[in-house]
Amino acid sequence: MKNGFRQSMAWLHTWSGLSMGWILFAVFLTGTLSFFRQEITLWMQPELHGSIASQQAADLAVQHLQRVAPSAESWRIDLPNAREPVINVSWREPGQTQGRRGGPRHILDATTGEQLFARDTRGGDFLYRFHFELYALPRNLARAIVGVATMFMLVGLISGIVTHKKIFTDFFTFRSKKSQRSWLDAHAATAVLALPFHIMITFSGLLLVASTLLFWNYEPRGPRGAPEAGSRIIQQVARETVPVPTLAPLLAQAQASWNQPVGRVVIDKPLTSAMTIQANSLLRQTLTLQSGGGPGGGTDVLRFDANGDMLKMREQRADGASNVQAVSNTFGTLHRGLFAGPLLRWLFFLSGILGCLMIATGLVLWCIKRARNQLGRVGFELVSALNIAAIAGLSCATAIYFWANRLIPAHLSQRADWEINSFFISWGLLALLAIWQRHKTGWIIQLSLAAVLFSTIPLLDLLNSEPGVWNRWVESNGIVPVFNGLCLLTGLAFAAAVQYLLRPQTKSVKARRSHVTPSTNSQPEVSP
Amino acid sequence: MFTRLFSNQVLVSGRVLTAIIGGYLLAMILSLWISHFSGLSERSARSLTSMMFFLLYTAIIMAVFAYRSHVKAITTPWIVTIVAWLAWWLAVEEAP
Amino acid sequence: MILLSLILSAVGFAHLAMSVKRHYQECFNCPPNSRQRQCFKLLGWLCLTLSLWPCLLVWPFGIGVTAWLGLLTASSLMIMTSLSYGKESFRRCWRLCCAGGWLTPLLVQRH
Repeated sequence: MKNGFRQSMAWLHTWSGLSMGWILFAVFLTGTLSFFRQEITLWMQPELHGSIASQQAADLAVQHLQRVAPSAESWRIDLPNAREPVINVSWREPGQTQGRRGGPRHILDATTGEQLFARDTRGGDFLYRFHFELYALPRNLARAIVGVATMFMLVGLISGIVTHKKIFTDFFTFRSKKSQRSWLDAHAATAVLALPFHIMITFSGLLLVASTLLFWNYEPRGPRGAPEAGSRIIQQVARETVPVPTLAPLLAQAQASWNQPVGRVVIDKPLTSAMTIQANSLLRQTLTLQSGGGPGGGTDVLRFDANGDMLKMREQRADGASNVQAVSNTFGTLHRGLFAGPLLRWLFFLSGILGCLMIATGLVLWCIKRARNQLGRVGFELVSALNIAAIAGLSCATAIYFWANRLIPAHLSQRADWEINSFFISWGLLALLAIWQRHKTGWIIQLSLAAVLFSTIPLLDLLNSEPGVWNRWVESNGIVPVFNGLCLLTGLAFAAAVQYLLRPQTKSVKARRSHVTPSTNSQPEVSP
Repeated sequence: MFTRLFSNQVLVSGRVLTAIIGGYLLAMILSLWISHFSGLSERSARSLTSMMFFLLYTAIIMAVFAYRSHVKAITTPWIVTIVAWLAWWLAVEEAP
Repeated sequence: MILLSLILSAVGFAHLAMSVKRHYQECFNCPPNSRQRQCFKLLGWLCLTLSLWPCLLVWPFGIGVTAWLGLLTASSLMIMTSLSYGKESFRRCWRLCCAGGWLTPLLVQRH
């Protein structure tokens, strides 16, 4: 404003970051965890941990579906993969609308084909939904809130880049043990080292919720098209039972042609002579195809008929895909990591964690910079309390969500809701605690709690699972051990933070602190 | 003159409101203009409008805070917005 | 392949880090001369650019670039952490695998 461009941008950066920082931390944390939402959901369903993928998975699924849904319009089989070692089957009865989410679903063991019954839990999907729709708020309002916060984030990012004078020279700078300097370096480092990711995720996030923010640009979605079944009278014509061909060789063929495993098999009009078998690849290979829908939703597709012969595929229409659409689709695909194999997923996760740290260090830095002058003032105290509640409190609440998953009995009705309630109740209580203890002590208490909760999750898993769990850990996909390991590491990281806070202060620092009185030489916050 | 009538806080708040509300309207009309002249199909035009909107909005917000003078920062965006909207109504909505 | 990309980008970042006066001074207790700095900068950017190639071999273009950027984050994080907390191992790696380290005797020759 009055002090030159860089100073104005610094002011803008501070305020756009601070005003939405707490919401943004929640959004970023849940978003980062959402990259592994399938894995989180699996961990939260210990009944499924014994399932190990096998070659016969598709055929086992077909056998099961033949038994339970012989007259269905179509069957859908989600094959086990590295992220989800069970078979998910669902089907559409004649007369149901296409794509209805409420269709019956079964989970099958990937080696034996027997049906598994997992405890009722929202799992990682709760975190995923929270990320852009929060919870218990009307859908559009929640998305708009997240959208506004994301807009603040984008402004904060760009103003931060502009304001960072020595962005290249200071690229590798991290001066430890220097209090305010160290926090500033940490904030800059976590921001700059993953900068392409941060810009991409923020901008693409905005595009994904654009329909609520830019309501003038989007036509309201008309009522969903009349169900196809309306025009298709349920044909109880004598159905000759045509057996489904053995799927394993067909899928091997598909896999060979795409160089990628098959993710999903959809069998239309099963057990009839008009049956078609469609195989979808697990990951998409291009970024520019339409984000949602489409026959394969962007994945590679191959079709077979009732005899197991490959059908000619229609050229996947370019969708009238102009360059603009391609760019837009790319952003959507990138944001959700729809193409990501394990390595890419971990890289995204790493960048996401850096983003969470960026926001956290930014919030803490604000307090540290003003601690000397503003201690006691309402604004400062408010920010201190909110910092603890949003950062440490939310982390604890996440751990408690996982704890609740194991502590709440598996057969309790509405246990999924109770897991979520535990999350919010604990967060609420910790927020109250943060208001009462809003400085160093508060941080120590809540970070210690987080450290304990996270580090003991592997133990919880061990105690809580059926016997033979060690063998299963070793044999299985590795998802459960890795989840446990990551929780342990997180717990240790929090413990390290507590240790940092508990370190003995050097004499000079103590002397300086004891001479400080609030509001001496207070400088105006805003320099016009 | 204005800076003596109003306190600094009021002027800064004025900038904030201008940036948020005025900026939204300005970004909206500019992105509509860009899509209008891009000649793309309706669906692509909407995508372009979205993408341009967020880029422009960010730039406008930064510009509003970059001005040294409070008065210029508050008045300029509104004037430009009004002009752009008038032009839009006259050129696009009225014309057959 | 992916490891190759990671190593190349780490080497690239190491060179770029060493082209900054402050970091070189902290590591080797003497300031770099301008020829060294230019050489390191060049080698650094070269290695970073080269590290894109293995990613494009493994993945299609769009995904390859994304993976490359992700690997850049990982390797720059490694270099930054080792500069702050593992100077000894950084020095060793510098002398072993970085062309900048090998060329240093040539670059500091007094005419």
